[in-house]
Amino acid sequence: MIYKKNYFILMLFVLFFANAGNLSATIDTHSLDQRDVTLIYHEPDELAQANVYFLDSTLSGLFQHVQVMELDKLDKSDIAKADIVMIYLPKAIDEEKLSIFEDVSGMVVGIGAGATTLPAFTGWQFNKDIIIDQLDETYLTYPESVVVVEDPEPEQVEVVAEGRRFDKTYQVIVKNEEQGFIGLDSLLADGEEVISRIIFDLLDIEKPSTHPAYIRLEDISPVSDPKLVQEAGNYLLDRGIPVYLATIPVFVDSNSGVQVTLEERPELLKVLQELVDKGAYIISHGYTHSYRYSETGEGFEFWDTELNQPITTVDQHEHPVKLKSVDEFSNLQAYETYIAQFKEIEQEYVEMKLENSVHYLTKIGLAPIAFEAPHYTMSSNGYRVTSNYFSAIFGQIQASDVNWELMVAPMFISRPSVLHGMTLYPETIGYVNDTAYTDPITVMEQRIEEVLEVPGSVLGGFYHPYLGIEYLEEMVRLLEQVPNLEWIDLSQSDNHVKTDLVEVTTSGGDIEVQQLAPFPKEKKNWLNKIEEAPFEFALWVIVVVTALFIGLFTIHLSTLRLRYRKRLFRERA
Amino acid sequence: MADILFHISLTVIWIMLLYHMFLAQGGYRHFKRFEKVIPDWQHKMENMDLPTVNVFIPAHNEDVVIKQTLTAMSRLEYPKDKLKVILICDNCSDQTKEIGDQFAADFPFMKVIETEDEYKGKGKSSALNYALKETNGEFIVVYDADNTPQRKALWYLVMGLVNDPRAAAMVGKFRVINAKNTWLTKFINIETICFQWMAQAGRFHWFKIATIPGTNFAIRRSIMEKLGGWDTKALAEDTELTIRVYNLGYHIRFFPAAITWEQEPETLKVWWKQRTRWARGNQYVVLKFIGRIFSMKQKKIAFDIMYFFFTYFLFFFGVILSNVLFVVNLIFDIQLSIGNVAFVLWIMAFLLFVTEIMITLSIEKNQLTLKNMLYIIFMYFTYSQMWIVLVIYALTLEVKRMIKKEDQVWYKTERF
Repeated sequence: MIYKKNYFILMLFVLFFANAGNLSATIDTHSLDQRDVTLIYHEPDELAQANVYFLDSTLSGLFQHVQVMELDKLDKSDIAKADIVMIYLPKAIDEEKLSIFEDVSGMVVGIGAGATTLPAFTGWQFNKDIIIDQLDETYLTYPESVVVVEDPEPEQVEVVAEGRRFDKTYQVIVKNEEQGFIGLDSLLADGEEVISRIIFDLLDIEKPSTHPAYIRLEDISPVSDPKLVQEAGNYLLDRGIPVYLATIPVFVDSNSGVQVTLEERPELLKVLQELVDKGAYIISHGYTHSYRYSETGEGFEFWDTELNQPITTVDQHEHPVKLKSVDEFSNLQAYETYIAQFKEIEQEYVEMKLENSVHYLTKIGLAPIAFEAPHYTMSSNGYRVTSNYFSAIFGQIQASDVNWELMVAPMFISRPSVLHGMTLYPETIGYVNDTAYTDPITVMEQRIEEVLEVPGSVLGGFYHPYLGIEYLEEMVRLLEQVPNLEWIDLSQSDNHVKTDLVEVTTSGGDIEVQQLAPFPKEKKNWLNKIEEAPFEFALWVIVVVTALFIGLFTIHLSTLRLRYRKRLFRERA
Repeated sequence: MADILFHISLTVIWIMLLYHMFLAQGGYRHFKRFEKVIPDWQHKMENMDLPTVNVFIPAHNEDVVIKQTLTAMSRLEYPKDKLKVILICDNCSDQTKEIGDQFAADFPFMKVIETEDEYKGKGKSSALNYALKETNGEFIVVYDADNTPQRKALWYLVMGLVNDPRAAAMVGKFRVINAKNTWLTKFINIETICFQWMAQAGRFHWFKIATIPGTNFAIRRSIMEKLGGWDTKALAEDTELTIRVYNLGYHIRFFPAAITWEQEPETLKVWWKQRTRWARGNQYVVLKFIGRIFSMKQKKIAFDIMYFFFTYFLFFFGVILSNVLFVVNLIFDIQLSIGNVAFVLWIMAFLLFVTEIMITLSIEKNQLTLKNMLYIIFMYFTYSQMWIVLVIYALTLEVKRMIKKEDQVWYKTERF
């Protein structure tokens, strides 16, 4: 009896630790820094806005309470209790506006040339004419102009990151008890890694000891090879690595508009269902992976790449028009009224696509537990709409509403305000790109090394199953070498996917799928096909008509042959 | 872009193929029907005062063939007091006239005339107009100088006109006499059988129209006079006449009981010249009438004009486009999205081609043979494709002529 009791306690113990280990790999609120952080910016241009997204996502990956505010909307009370006030000002502004920061009790961190005039830096000396080509011992892609701190001198402050050019060194990122300063106007590109790395020292954050990681099997669509998907999925499962299948339920031929659904590929569907039964997770990777029918190659479902603007039509046959830019309006309000109507259309479109995807996937037994936008492209309005359906999102953040190419990838699992509460599982190490590189594994290895320099960084990457399993083995080998790596298991944390008809929730390793209302009846399949490709349908009609006539002609032919002799006889007569 | 072009070419090609399919069905039904009226009509012919008939044989240096033609004429079954066979010598420099004179001496119902003045040396239309002026028979029957009509041919043509008052003209059937001579005449034989049982019989069945050919047809003099004779500018005087006659509101009956045998080109060079003339002639006719397509009195003629328009302009354009896309697609990826259906359609087109031809061949005696079957398949890839080159060639000639504003020059087909 005593033996039994001990055994029971032992089991509890094991279970607890097994769970605890997994939990630490997800966004564990208890491990986040509990200090209050307020991030402030002012009238950002496109690039500055992207910087704000980056700072927001990085901070929200480290701190529990992060507030992001525009300077003009800031009230003294907003920063009164803040432990850290981070002010991002790449451009000089009216000093009067900065008087609000006069008696901040917490630490003030200034970023950019505009931040030099903050009250916190009264008495400091800056030099804005310095160009560096190394920052914190990292070579920059291009030499960059920075603001350096000349006074206080190195003895009086802690130099967090040094800039360097030739044999000269400069104080680019410094701190002391009450202040911190980052002498960069933009933190993107080379800066992202440096900032993610030094922010721990800058803000005295405890460095995590583990690296969360995931591998996504990407772009699984009805045209994927079932065997290769099965191989890749099983390989990961066998090694105890959580499997994430970024799945597109419908494939649209960009030329003909012909649609193929997963149900029309029973072999693949069976493979996916088996993988899910074994514990693989489905990520909704859009509905069709395309917006316009005219898009060639891989489409961008939630962004109009041809015009490089958000989605502006719900009907995909309608021709989208180029949106006017803000410069074409006399005032901001007129622009916002103009853009509001398009945001409504975009909302309708995104809702339709997400609901279609979630419903379709759920119906065929592949209930999704997270979302990933095709090519990570989506406007901030799109993210807002998506947050009504999903709580977890994979990939990177599109950091501009006018240019999809501006992407931000934080190093931590984070909840930037642009995602309206969704948790981002960032992709940080890319994918095995065998078309761009002759040795893609070495490229990935180097990338992993870079990312590993950031404490607690996520090693998030994806893999295309069509490459076969060899590269996947290599990729797994690289990741398994990393000490303190924790595979992210989404089902261990609380997530939900919710529409009016279904709700999928994850918690403590379980996935629960609830049908809230019946799915609407579908249009008959062949009617769909006509709509998708009317010309091809017409051609098939011709085939049928012609076949009927060929049949009729064959009958004529036989009658003619049967009566042939009789006819000849009559003619002779 | 490639897709749109491909769609256009497929559409054009298949409008044509489906139309032919429709004609083939009509042709078959006409075959099942056309003989049924003969007993009644025969009865009427036997109990009436038969009309006077002029047979016109336009000839320009035809001494190679004219003897057998006139021999066949001498054997035509028709009361000789009602019949006048007229050999129209147009600018002859060989023995044609002398041979004709001998026959005229032997057979009182034959006569030789020579074109004069403005009629002379202008080609077939002009020669026919001259003869029209010089004669007065109620019906006019035209035979080319290389034709050997069967004995009853003329009888049937007249029978048709007498019994079918709504028909302005009666069109007989022609067969190839030298079908076995060369591979080319074998193809032409198959082609002519097909043309007659599909296009001629089919169009008569559905629209009561057939193209008046250059030979073996009868027409009422009253109609010819109303129309003011043949159009001397037309190289394809037959097509041109057809449209004008039909537009008067009459039928043109295809009556295959009247049979003639004619020579077809045995060499490619002669074929090429003859067909170039036809193609150019028909292009002229299409351009002449396409502008008035909706103002024509007979609305149904629009089908026929459109048919010619497709045959000589759109169809070959569609085929060329399709071929070009096919070749380009082999070399570059032009992202043609059309899938299996295009291949299935091609199979269907081929099967249609084969069955249609087989039906028409099996109507004729001894034509649906294994050899001919092989020829049909071979034809699809060779003879039929030559048509494309020919139409382009004819079109460039015709465009050149229109730019230079020249008159048409008649080319007389060489005989063998």
